[in-house]
Amino acid sequence: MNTAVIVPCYNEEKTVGNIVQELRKNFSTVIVIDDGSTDSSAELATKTGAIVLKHKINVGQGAALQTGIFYALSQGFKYIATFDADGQHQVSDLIAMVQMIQRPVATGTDKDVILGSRFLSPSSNSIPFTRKFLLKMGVLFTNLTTGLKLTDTHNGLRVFNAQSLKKLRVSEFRMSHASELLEYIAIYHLRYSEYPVKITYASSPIGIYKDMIRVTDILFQFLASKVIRT
Amino acid sequence: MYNVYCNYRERKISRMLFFGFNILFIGIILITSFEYLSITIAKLIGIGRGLDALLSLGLLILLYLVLYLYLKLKTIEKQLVELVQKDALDDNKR
Repeated sequence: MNTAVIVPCYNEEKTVGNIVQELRKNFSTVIVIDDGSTDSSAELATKTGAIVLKHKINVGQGAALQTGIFYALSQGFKYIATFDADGQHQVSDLIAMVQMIQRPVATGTDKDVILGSRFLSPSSNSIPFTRKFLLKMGVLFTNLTTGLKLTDTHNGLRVFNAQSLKKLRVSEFRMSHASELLEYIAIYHLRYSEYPVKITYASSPIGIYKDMIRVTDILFQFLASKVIRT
Repeated sequence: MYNVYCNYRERKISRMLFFGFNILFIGIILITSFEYLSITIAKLIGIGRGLDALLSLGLLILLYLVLYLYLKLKTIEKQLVELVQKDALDDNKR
Protein backbone atom coordinates (compact mmCIF):
# COMPACT_ATOMS: atom_id res chain seq x y z
CA MET A 1 0.00 0.00 0.00
CA ASN A 2 2.99 2.28 -0.24
CA THR A 3 3.25 2.61 -4.02
CA ALA A 4 0.86 4.53 -6.24
CA VAL A 5 0.99 3.92 -9.99
CA ILE A 6 -0.04 6.95 -12.03
CA VAL A 7 -1.37 6.27 -15.52
CA PRO A 8 -2.06 9.40 -17.60
CA CYS A 9 -4.64 8.55 -20.21
CA TYR A 10 -6.14 10.22 -23.27
CA ASN A 11 -8.47 8.21 -25.51
CA GLU A 12 -6.89 4.82 -24.72
CA GLU A 13 -10.03 2.67 -24.46
CA LYS A 14 -8.34 -0.14 -26.40
CA THR A 15 -5.58 -0.62 -23.84
CA VAL A 16 -6.35 1.09 -20.54
CA GLY A 17 -8.69 -1.62 -19.18
CA ASN A 18 -6.13 -4.41 -19.61
CA ILE A 19 -3.32 -2.27 -18.25
CA VAL A 20 -5.23 -1.38 -15.09
CA GLN A 21 -6.17 -5.05 -14.61
CA GLU A 22 -2.54 -6.16 -14.96
CA LEU A 23 -1.29 -3.41 -12.66
CA ARG A 24 -3.94 -4.13 -10.04
CA LYS A 25 -2.67 -7.71 -9.72
CA ASN A 26 0.54 -6.30 -8.25
CA PHE A 27 -0.29 -2.79 -7.01
CA SER A 28 -3.27 -1.95 -4.85
CA THR A 29 -3.44 1.68 -5.98
CA VAL A 30 -3.61 2.57 -9.65
CA ILE A 31 -4.50 6.20 -10.36
CA VAL A 32 -5.70 6.89 -13.89
CA ILE A 33 -5.78 10.54 -14.88
CA ASP A 34 -8.29 10.80 -17.68
CA ASP A 35 -7.10 13.85 -19.59
CA GLY A 36 -10.36 14.85 -21.25
CA SER A 37 -10.90 11.61 -23.18
CA THR A 38 -13.87 11.52 -25.52
CA ASP A 39 -14.06 7.72 -25.54
CA SER A 40 -14.86 5.27 -22.73
CA SER A 41 -11.35 5.20 -21.21
CA ALA A 42 -12.50 6.60 -17.85
CA GLU A 43 -15.39 4.14 -17.51
CA LEU A 44 -13.15 1.17 -18.35
CA ALA A 45 -10.51 2.29 -15.88
CA THR A 46 -13.13 2.71 -13.13
CA LYS A 47 -14.63 -0.72 -13.90
CA THR A 48 -11.25 -2.41 -13.62
CA GLY A 49 -10.58 -0.90 -10.20
CA ALA A 50 -8.53 2.23 -10.77
CA ILE A 51 -9.00 5.52 -8.95
CA VAL A 52 -9.96 7.85 -11.78
CA LEU A 53 -9.33 11.58 -11.69
CA LYS A 54 -10.97 13.35 -14.60
CA HIS A 55 -9.70 16.43 -16.39
CA LYS A 56 -12.72 18.12 -17.94
CA ILE A 57 -10.69 19.08 -21.00
CA ASN A 58 -7.47 17.79 -22.59
CA VAL A 59 -4.56 19.76 -21.15
CA GLY A 60 -1.65 17.42 -21.80
CA GLN A 61 0.25 14.49 -20.35
CA GLY A 62 2.50 16.65 -18.19
CA ALA A 63 -0.50 18.26 -16.52
CA ALA A 64 -2.10 14.84 -16.02
CA LEU A 65 1.04 13.52 -14.34
CA GLN A 66 1.14 16.53 -12.02
CA THR A 67 -2.51 15.96 -11.03
CA GLY A 68 -1.69 12.35 -10.22
CA ILE A 69 1.39 13.38 -8.23
CA PHE A 70 -0.64 15.93 -6.22
CA TYR A 71 -3.19 13.23 -5.42
CA ALA A 72 -0.63 10.55 -4.51
CA LEU A 73 1.25 12.99 -2.25
CA SER A 74 -1.97 13.99 -0.51
CA GLN A 75 -2.68 10.32 0.22
CA GLY A 76 0.73 9.80 1.78
CA PHE A 77 2.21 7.24 -0.59
CA LYS A 78 5.88 6.52 -0.13
CA TYR A 79 6.65 5.74 -3.76
CA ILE A 80 5.12 7.08 -6.95
CA ALA A 81 5.42 5.31 -10.30
CA THR A 82 4.42 6.54 -13.74
CA PHE A 83 3.21 4.15 -16.43
CA ASP A 84 1.90 4.87 -19.96
CA ALA A 85 -1.63 3.90 -20.91
CA ASP A 86 -0.88 2.90 -24.51
CA GLY A 87 0.43 -0.58 -23.77
CA GLN A 88 4.12 0.17 -24.45
CA HIS A 89 5.33 -0.84 -21.00
CA GLN A 90 5.60 -4.19 -19.22
CA VAL A 91 4.21 -4.54 -15.71
CA SER A 92 7.08 -6.94 -14.88
CA ASP A 93 9.58 -4.10 -15.52
CA LEU A 94 7.68 -1.82 -13.14
CA ILE A 95 7.64 -4.48 -10.42
CA ALA A 96 11.42 -4.86 -10.69
CA MET A 97 11.92 -1.08 -10.61
CA VAL A 98 9.73 -0.70 -7.51
CA GLN A 99 11.69 -3.49 -5.80
CA MET A 100 14.90 -1.73 -6.71
CA ILE A 101 13.84 1.54 -5.02
CA GLN A 102 12.13 -0.16 -2.05
CA ARG A 103 14.97 -2.52 -1.17
CA PRO A 104 18.15 -0.53 -1.52
CA VAL A 105 20.23 -2.98 0.52
CA ALA A 106 19.10 -6.12 -1.29
CA THR A 107 19.51 -4.55 -4.72
CA GLY A 108 22.62 -2.58 -3.87
CA THR A 109 21.07 0.74 -4.89
CA ASP A 110 19.83 3.60 -2.75
CA LYS A 111 18.13 5.98 -5.13
CA ASP A 112 15.44 8.66 -5.25
CA VAL A 113 14.45 7.85 -8.81
CA ILE A 114 14.59 4.77 -11.03
CA LEU A 115 14.21 5.56 -14.71
CA GLY A 116 13.33 3.01 -17.36
CA SER A 117 15.77 2.74 -20.25
CA ARG A 118 14.92 0.93 -23.46
CA PHE A 119 18.53 1.12 -24.64
CA LEU A 120 19.86 -0.97 -21.76
CA SER A 121 17.60 -3.81 -22.78
CA PRO A 122 18.64 -6.38 -25.43
CA SER A 123 15.29 -5.74 -27.12
CA SER A 124 16.57 -2.29 -28.16
CA ASN A 125 17.99 -3.95 -31.29
CA SER A 126 14.48 -4.20 -32.64
CA ILE A 127 13.84 -0.44 -32.46
CA PRO A 128 13.51 0.97 -36.00
CA PHE A 129 16.63 2.89 -37.09
CA THR A 130 15.03 6.32 -37.59
CA ARG A 131 13.25 6.13 -34.25
CA LYS A 132 16.46 5.01 -32.57
CA PHE A 133 18.35 7.91 -34.18
CA LEU A 134 15.79 10.48 -33.02
CA LEU A 135 15.79 9.06 -29.50
CA LYS A 136 19.58 9.02 -29.34
CA MET A 137 19.69 12.66 -30.45
CA GLY A 138 17.24 13.42 -27.64
CA VAL A 139 19.48 11.60 -25.16
CA LEU A 140 22.54 13.57 -26.33
CA PHE A 141 20.65 16.86 -26.05
CA THR A 142 19.33 16.02 -22.58
CA ASN A 143 22.72 14.91 -21.28
CA LEU A 144 24.31 18.11 -22.60
CA THR A 145 21.66 20.42 -21.14
CA THR A 146 21.16 18.72 -17.75
CA GLY A 147 24.56 17.22 -17.02
CA LEU A 148 22.92 13.84 -16.31
CA LYS A 149 24.36 10.66 -17.78
CA LEU A 150 21.39 8.86 -19.24
CA THR A 151 20.94 6.27 -21.96
CA ASP A 152 17.26 7.07 -22.59
CA THR A 153 14.92 10.05 -22.30
CA HIS A 154 11.18 10.43 -22.75
CA ASN A 155 10.53 7.03 -21.27
CA GLY A 156 7.27 7.10 -19.34
CA LEU A 157 8.26 4.29 -16.97
CA ARG A 158 9.66 5.83 -13.78
CA VAL A 159 9.58 5.25 -10.04
CA PHE A 160 10.13 8.10 -7.58
CA ASN A 161 10.58 8.32 -3.88
CA ALA A 162 7.51 10.49 -3.10
CA GLN A 163 9.50 12.87 -0.90
CA SER A 164 11.65 13.80 -3.87
CA LEU A 165 8.60 15.00 -5.82
CA LYS A 166 7.27 17.46 -3.25
CA LYS A 167 8.84 20.46 -4.93
CA LEU A 168 7.89 19.42 -8.46
CA ARG A 169 5.53 21.71 -10.37
CA VAL A 170 5.30 20.62 -13.99
CA SER A 171 5.05 23.72 -16.15
CA GLU A 172 5.47 21.97 -19.50
CA PHE A 173 2.02 20.53 -19.84
CA ARG A 174 2.48 18.76 -23.16
CA MET A 175 5.11 16.21 -24.15
CA SER A 176 8.18 18.20 -23.13
CA HIS A 177 7.34 17.54 -19.47
CA ALA A 178 9.67 14.53 -19.70
CA SER A 179 12.64 16.86 -20.27
CA GLU A 180 11.42 19.04 -17.40
CA LEU A 181 11.33 16.02 -15.08
CA LEU A 182 14.93 15.17 -15.94
CA GLU A 183 15.91 18.79 -15.41
CA TYR A 184 14.23 18.61 -11.98
CA ILE A 185 16.33 15.53 -11.15
CA ALA A 186 19.47 17.44 -12.10
CA ILE A 187 18.57 20.66 -10.23
CA TYR A 188 17.68 18.90 -6.97
CA HIS A 189 20.58 16.44 -7.28
CA LEU A 190 18.28 13.46 -6.95
CA ARG A 191 20.06 10.11 -6.85
CA TYR A 192 19.01 8.26 -9.97
CA SER A 193 19.58 4.97 -11.68
CA GLU A 194 18.37 3.39 -14.90
CA TYR A 195 16.75 0.01 -15.34
CA PRO A 196 16.51 -1.90 -18.64
CA VAL A 197 12.92 -2.01 -19.85
CA LYS A 198 11.22 -3.46 -22.90
CA ILE A 199 9.06 -1.16 -24.99
CA THR A 200 6.44 -2.57 -27.32
CA TYR A 201 5.86 -0.29 -30.30
CA ALA A 202 2.60 -0.11 -32.18
CA SER A 203 3.41 -1.02 -35.78
CA SER A 204 2.15 2.03 -37.58
CA PRO A 205 3.58 3.16 -40.92
CA ILE A 206 3.01 6.79 -39.99
CA GLY A 207 4.61 6.27 -36.59
CA ILE A 208 7.98 7.59 -37.64
CA TYR A 209 6.54 10.83 -39.06
CA LYS A 210 4.58 11.26 -35.86
CA ASP A 211 7.85 10.77 -33.96
CA MET A 212 9.61 13.44 -36.02
CA ILE A 213 6.80 15.96 -35.49
CA ARG A 214 6.77 15.06 -31.80
CA VAL A 215 10.52 15.52 -31.43
CA THR A 216 10.38 18.91 -33.19
CA ASP A 217 7.47 19.97 -30.99
CA ILE A 218 9.22 18.83 -27.81
CA LEU A 219 12.43 20.60 -28.83
CA PHE A 220 10.58 23.85 -29.58
CA GLN A 221 8.64 23.75 -26.33
CA PHE A 222 11.77 22.96 -24.35
CA LEU A 223 13.78 25.78 -25.96
CA ALA A 224 10.87 28.22 -25.55
CA SER A 225 10.65 27.32 -21.87
CA LYS A 226 14.35 28.07 -21.52
CA VAL A 227 13.91 31.55 -23.00
CA ILE A 228 10.58 32.47 -21.46
CA ARG A 229 9.42 31.55 -17.99
CA THR A 230 5.79 32.34 -17.21
CA MET B 1 -9.09 50.32 -40.81
CA TYR B 2 -12.61 49.29 -41.67
CA ASN B 3 -11.95 45.86 -40.13
CA VAL B 4 -10.65 47.50 -36.95
CA TYR B 5 -13.74 49.70 -36.88
CA CYS B 6 -16.04 46.65 -37.27
CA ASN B 7 -14.24 44.85 -34.45
CA TYR B 8 -14.53 47.94 -32.25
CA ARG B 9 -18.23 48.31 -33.04
CA GLU B 10 -18.81 44.68 -32.06
CA ARG B 11 -16.85 45.34 -28.84
CA LYS B 12 -14.25 42.74 -29.75
CA ILE B 13 -11.41 45.20 -29.20
CA SER B 14 -11.00 47.99 -26.68
CA ARG B 15 -11.13 51.71 -27.45
CA MET B 16 -7.41 51.94 -26.75
CA LEU B 17 -6.61 49.24 -29.30
CA PHE B 18 -8.99 50.87 -31.82
CA PHE B 19 -7.19 54.22 -31.57
CA GLY B 20 -3.79 52.51 -31.43
CA PHE B 21 -4.36 50.62 -34.69
CA ASN B 22 -5.82 53.69 -36.40
CA ILE B 23 -2.90 55.88 -35.40
CA LEU B 24 -0.56 53.16 -36.72
CA PHE B 25 -2.42 52.92 -40.06
CA ILE B 26 -2.69 56.69 -40.47
CA GLY B 27 1.00 56.94 -39.68
CA ILE B 28 1.86 54.38 -42.36
CA ILE B 29 -0.33 56.24 -44.91
CA LEU B 30 1.32 59.56 -44.08
CA ILE B 31 4.85 58.18 -44.18
CA THR B 32 4.34 56.39 -47.50
CA SER B 33 2.57 59.46 -48.99
CA PHE B 34 5.11 62.04 -47.85
CA GLU B 35 8.54 60.61 -48.45
CA TYR B 36 10.40 63.37 -46.61
CA LEU B 37 8.66 62.31 -43.38
CA SER B 38 10.15 58.84 -43.53
CA ILE B 39 13.56 60.22 -44.49
CA THR B 40 13.46 62.59 -41.49
CA ILE B 41 12.55 59.70 -39.18
CA ALA B 42 15.22 57.51 -40.77
CA LYS B 43 17.85 60.18 -40.18
CA LEU B 44 16.71 60.53 -36.58
CA ILE B 45 17.02 56.79 -35.99
CA GLY B 46 20.17 56.52 -38.05
CA ILE B 47 18.97 54.05 -40.70
CA GLY B 48 19.85 54.89 -44.31
CA ARG B 49 16.65 54.83 -46.29
CA GLY B 50 13.21 55.84 -45.09
CA LEU B 51 11.37 52.67 -46.01
CA ASP B 52 14.10 50.51 -44.47
CA ALA B 53 13.59 52.32 -41.19
CA LEU B 54 9.87 51.80 -41.43
CA LEU B 55 10.24 48.08 -42.18
CA SER B 56 12.77 47.62 -39.39
CA LEU B 57 10.47 49.33 -36.92
CA GLY B 58 7.53 47.26 -38.17
CA LEU B 59 9.51 44.08 -37.70
CA LEU B 60 10.45 45.07 -34.16
CA ILE B 61 6.83 45.84 -33.32
CA LEU B 62 5.72 42.51 -34.77
CA LEU B 63 8.35 40.61 -32.81
CA TYR B 64 7.26 42.35 -29.64
CA LEU B 65 3.63 41.50 -30.39
CA VAL B 66 4.49 37.82 -30.97
CA LEU B 67 6.36 37.69 -27.68
CA TYR B 68 3.54 39.50 -25.87
CA LEU B 69 0.91 37.14 -27.27
CA TYR B 70 3.03 34.07 -26.49
CA LEU B 71 3.43 35.17 -22.89
CA LYS B 72 -0.25 35.96 -22.59
CA LEU B 73 -1.14 32.57 -24.05
CA LYS B 74 1.24 30.71 -21.73
CA THR B 75 -0.17 32.52 -18.70
CA ILE B 76 -3.74 31.70 -19.70
CA GLU B 77 -2.75 28.06 -20.37
CA LYS B 78 -1.15 27.82 -16.93
CA GLN B 79 -4.22 29.25 -15.23
CA LEU B 80 -6.50 26.92 -17.21
CA VAL B 81 -4.43 23.84 -16.32
CA GLU B 82 -4.40 24.77 -12.62
CA LEU B 83 -8.18 25.14 -12.73
CA VAL B 84 -8.64 21.76 -14.48
CA GLN B 85 -6.30 20.07 -11.96
CA LYS B 86 -8.08 21.61 -8.97
CA ASP B 87 -11.43 20.57 -10.39
CA ALA B 88 -10.26 16.96 -10.91
CA LEU B 89 -8.91 16.74 -7.34
CA ASP B 90 -12.00 18.38 -5.81
CA ASP B 91 -14.31 16.06 -7.78
CA ASN B 92 -12.51 13.09 -6.27
CA LYS B 93 -12.95 14.42 -2.73
CA ARG B 94 -16.75 14.63 -3.15
